[in-house]
Amino acid sequence: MLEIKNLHAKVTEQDKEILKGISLNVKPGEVHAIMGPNGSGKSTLANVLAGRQDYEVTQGEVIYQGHDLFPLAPEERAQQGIFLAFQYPVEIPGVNNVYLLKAAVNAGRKARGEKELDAMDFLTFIKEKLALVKMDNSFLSRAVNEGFSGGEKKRNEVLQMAALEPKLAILDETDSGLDIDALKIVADGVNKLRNPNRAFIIITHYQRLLDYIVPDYVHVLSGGRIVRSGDSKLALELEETGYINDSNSASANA
Amino acid sequence: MSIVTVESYINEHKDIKNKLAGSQHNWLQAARDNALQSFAKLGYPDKKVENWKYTRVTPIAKQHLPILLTHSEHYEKNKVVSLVKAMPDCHCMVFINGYFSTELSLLSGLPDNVIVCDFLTATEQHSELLKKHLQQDAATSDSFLAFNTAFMHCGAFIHVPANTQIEKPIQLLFICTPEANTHTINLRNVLIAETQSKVNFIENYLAITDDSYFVNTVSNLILEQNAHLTHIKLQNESRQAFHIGTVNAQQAADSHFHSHSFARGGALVRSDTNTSLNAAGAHCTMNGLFIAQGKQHIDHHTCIEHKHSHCSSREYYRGILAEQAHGVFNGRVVVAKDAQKTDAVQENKNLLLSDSAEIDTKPQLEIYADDVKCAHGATVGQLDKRALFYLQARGINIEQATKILTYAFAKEIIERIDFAPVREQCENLLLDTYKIDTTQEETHES
Repeated sequence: MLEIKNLHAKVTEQDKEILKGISLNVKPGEVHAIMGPNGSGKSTLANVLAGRQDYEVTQGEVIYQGHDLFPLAPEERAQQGIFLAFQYPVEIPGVNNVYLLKAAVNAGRKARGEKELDAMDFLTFIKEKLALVKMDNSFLSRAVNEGFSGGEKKRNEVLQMAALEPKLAILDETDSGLDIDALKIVADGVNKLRNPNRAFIIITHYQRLLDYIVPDYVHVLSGGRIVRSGDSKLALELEETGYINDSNSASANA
Repeated sequence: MSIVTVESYINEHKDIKNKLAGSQHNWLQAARDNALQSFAKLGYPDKKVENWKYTRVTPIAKQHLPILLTHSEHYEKNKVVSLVKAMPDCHCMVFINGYFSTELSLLSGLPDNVIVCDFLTATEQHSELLKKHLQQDAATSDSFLAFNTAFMHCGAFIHVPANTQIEKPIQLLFICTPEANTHTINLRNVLIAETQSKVNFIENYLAITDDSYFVNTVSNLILEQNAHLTHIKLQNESRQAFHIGTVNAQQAADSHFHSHSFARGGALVRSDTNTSLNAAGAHCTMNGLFIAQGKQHIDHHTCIEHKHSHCSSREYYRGILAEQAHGVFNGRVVVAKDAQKTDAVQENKNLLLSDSAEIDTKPQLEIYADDVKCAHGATVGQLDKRALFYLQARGINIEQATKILTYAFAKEIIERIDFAPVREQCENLLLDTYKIDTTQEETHES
């Protein structure tokens, strides 16, 4: 589904490379956890995959569903099934949550040549998804993320993910800052969305999340490279020993 | 060139002054004469006049635009009727090129003690009240205000007596037709809310022509003790038109003045809203939104004078400038020496949607008291790039994302309007401007 080959990237208009040759293969149904210290390039990887303009790819390629990913605009990537759950979800005053959700869902449907959902059908559709993240209807009429608590923002990301039904979901530190109850709700939502056709890349700083979402693979990112890969046991090991092999301590934009 | 124009208006004044409404009243003629003298002395403002630093009035000053002295007969009535219907749930005074049309107005159901008439009728039947409340502006330093007073003839006179509440808003619908072309439509409205009364006004400026004409409009608002008055100004003149307007409010103790100004039309626009908080407990809010495209020039000036202690004011103005449009915002808050415990907030935010669009914003806070709470700020910016990417990452294309965020920026001001039909009209104008698919707006939770 996703093949990352020797990916190098830097912040636009800056010289320093943050990703220094990442290679990773993700197949449908798999859950890959990417761990690593602050500044190792985890969030850069997520943002490059989603198409954020602040980063520039300097080398390497990414093949998504058999095609080069990079010519696609961010919205085209989203329409083709890539979803990024933001580390810092953006507050958008004046835009209703339900407006965003419906515009997003219908943009995807339109791109796939499916019929757009009308207001009534959409409401039925979204109410099922709300239950998944234990949110009530009042979330729909609030402005996007405005005045949301940290936990609410992350649940809102999972709600959007549930609504958009992506093929590849990238969770960028979705667990950071969550208390254990909020973490369980988020993890529970993600687990319910796991299926044989959907892949996840879960970026996290903390092993704790992986107690609830058990990954197929764990990779350790350090200094812009994957320095270790293993199965879910690797996460437990890291919990005890810390991030070893952190040979390159140069800080990068996490 | 402009000196020639000033003289042509002085001559015009000589010719028509005895035909103007209420010319039988010496006090009114004296007020007109004094104002004309001020106008003659001041001439048209140029950039040396601080209040007009960013707005050139040459397009108005270079030609003589005669005052329209007759009722218009030839216009498409069905278009006017549909404009009246477009604002449901309100009383409506219709003015065609400045002239009141009893036939097209909707004024049934108003309390009997309320006076609603045009300026001419007020000079005939309510001259004492008119004399008491008309601001004569003899010493004004504003050319256009002086001009307006010199040629007072058309407009509305509304008097809401003490302890009277008017449930539905009263709309003053000013419509320009092709007959307004190359003429001046000079309007003077006097709107009085006596003690403990409550009334909502909508001044709505529209056109059923694309021509160039000049609307010079002044509204005098009087709020007596504990009066509650809402004033909504909707300006959607022809894109070739010049619109210069002033709203001057005087507030007594404990009065509440809510002003909303929504500007979308006109080629050259200057819109002033001023209030004077004259006694303790008075409060005002001023909300404004201006949206300019093409080569439109839209200038808003506001002035809130805190003259007494324990008054409060809130001001929120936003501008959206696209293409080569030029916007100006100048918001002045003056806190007099004795106006202790003043609580004033002023905020102006502007969005520039193109590299050629321009905004000059100048928030001015002048504080002469020492125990006050005042905050102000102005920002000029582009759309939040993070928010744009966030929407894109959800599959919404960049054009649509831009429109959604622009709409949201404007909507925060529109949502402050209490009266739903006005809110909906403003929203529809925005949706139309930014071509947003409205079917996505209808989703409400059930």
